[in-house]
Amino acid sequence: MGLIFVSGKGGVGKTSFASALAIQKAKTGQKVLLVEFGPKSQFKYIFDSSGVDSGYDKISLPPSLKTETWNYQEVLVEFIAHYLKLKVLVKKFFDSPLMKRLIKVAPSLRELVYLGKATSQYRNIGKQYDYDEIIIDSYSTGHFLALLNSPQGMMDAVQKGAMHDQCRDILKVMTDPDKVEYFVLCLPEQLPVVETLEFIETLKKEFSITVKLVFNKVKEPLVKVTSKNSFVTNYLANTKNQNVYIDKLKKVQPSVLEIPFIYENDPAQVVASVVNQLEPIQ
Amino acid sequence: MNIFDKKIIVCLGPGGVGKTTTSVALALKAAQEGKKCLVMTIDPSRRLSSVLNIDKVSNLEVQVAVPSLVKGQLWGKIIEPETTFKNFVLKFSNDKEQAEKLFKNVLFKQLSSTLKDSQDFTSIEALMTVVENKKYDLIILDTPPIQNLTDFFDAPENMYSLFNSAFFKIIGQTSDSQSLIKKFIGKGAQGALGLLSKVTGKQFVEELIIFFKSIEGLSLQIKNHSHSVNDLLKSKSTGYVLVTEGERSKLIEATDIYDQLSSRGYALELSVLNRCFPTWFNEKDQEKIKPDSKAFPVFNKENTFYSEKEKIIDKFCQQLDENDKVIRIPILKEINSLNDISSLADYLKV
Repeated sequence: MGLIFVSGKGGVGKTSFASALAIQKAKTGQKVLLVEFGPKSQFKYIFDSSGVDSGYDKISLPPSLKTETWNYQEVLVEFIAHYLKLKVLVKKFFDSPLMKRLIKVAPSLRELVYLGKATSQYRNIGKQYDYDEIIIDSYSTGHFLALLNSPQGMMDAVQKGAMHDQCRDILKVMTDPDKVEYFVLCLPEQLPVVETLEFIETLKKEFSITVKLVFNKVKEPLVKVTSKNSFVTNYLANTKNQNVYIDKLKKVQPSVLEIPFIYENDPAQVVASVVNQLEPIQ
Repeated sequence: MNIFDKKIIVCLGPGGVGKTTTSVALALKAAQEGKKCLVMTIDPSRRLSSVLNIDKVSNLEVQVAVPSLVKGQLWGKIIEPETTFKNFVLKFSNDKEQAEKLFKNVLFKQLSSTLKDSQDFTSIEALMTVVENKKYDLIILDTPPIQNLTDFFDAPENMYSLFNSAFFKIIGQTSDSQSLIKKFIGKGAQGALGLLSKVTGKQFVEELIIFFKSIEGLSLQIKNHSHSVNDLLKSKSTGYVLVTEGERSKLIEATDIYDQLSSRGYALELSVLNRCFPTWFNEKDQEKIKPDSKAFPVFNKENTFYSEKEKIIDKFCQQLDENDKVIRIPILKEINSLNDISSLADYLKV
């Protein structure tokens, strides 16, 4: 089984890419679970399983692909139930006004329980899934670091005992390249490139994590065009530096995947087109 | 009423839509109108903070150099969560000793150092502090990306309730920490803390009890403070600006934030839609591209794409109240200087 996290700066197309990757893998016959962190769902605008009418076409889920929107409260109950075993104790725990308040402010508890659930298979905890791949459409860069920091944060607060040990195991799984893969999306623009470089450097330095880099929304070059009007001038100015940025990241990042700009406004159409882009390379 | 006559503007919106840049552009516009304006943000991109020259001075209010034509003043502040939280506790503790004791508590250290993840609370708390100082005509708060508006507005209440006296009803007011520890996690203890110790180990619960003992007495002032935060966020002199992008999924999120704002009765002053269309889109020289030109296929794709996008944006605007002001911003070049922010500010005619 493999676990894949997709991250990148806000607005780079994480959800579209994660969805396309999941569809592509499911098409090759693998059993895939595609996960997003709730409470809000983006998948419901892409896949037609939800029954939400968004006014445009959606993608039917291939038979070997399932999607899940994880809900913090539910995942937290699962997490605590692992320690308290008895249902009546779990109920007592969550009914306590003290616990209700602690849970609301406990820093990074949300991030921690999501990681706990994502890695539970590797730690032989909870219900065993029957998937070849779990793909997680995760947080954007800053919040993603908070996600990765959450086990260490809890280990610092709780210095002994079951929770401490569990956090240590979660961190171990997350930093094991044989178990977890990371895709980081980036746009071929100056600021996103600078921030992505910083992000992948931090991942390497603090967690020894290496990532797969994806350049999204790459526009095709306009060559040998002599006519001058506002469109041509503007388009040339925007695309001129694309390759400079891509090369800059290729220097530190040997394998870089490029996905062209998709001229579609429907999220489902974007995903369908990205799937076609992924096919030749996988 | 002109939006810049408000005392506070809160910029809200989905992640990755240029909220921080828009907040700064609004602040610059306010300064151009003669206001002394402070813009506060919690997690700015390095580029933006270096453009403003405020990158090395976390948690301080720094004046930003603006062209001499600008009548007012532009100030910037990067909110630093750990300091903000410490100041919050210092403000309410009766004596320094109590505060120092708290700062040494493992749990407190953890709470304050990982607070960068609960940015909602620290943003609002930082806002309260500058409001109390009354140094500015206008304060613009750039909020962290939110999934749920409730998370943002309830963040202070959640934090205050940690300090609230209801805790002491549970753990008892008179006992010292050691007898409390015995009572709650000793042999045969059945309560919630006993259960918690099964999850976290006893040591953690001991820390927790010591933590509560050291914040005892802060609760009343914090309760009053909590009321003033709510009053401030609801006040007529506080305005909200919704920032989003012309992309479908962002518009869906924005609709949701819009609905939540209206149902809470907060006044939306303005919606800013970033990156709606390229600058060439409204130019009249497009007929220069002939169908047999090499540029035509790409032009055609781009033109169709942005025309469709415009319809989606129109649809979004139709659902808003007809009195709501909406500004559509084209795709501008990346922000590399105050000048670039100024060209965004030029679109913000309010």
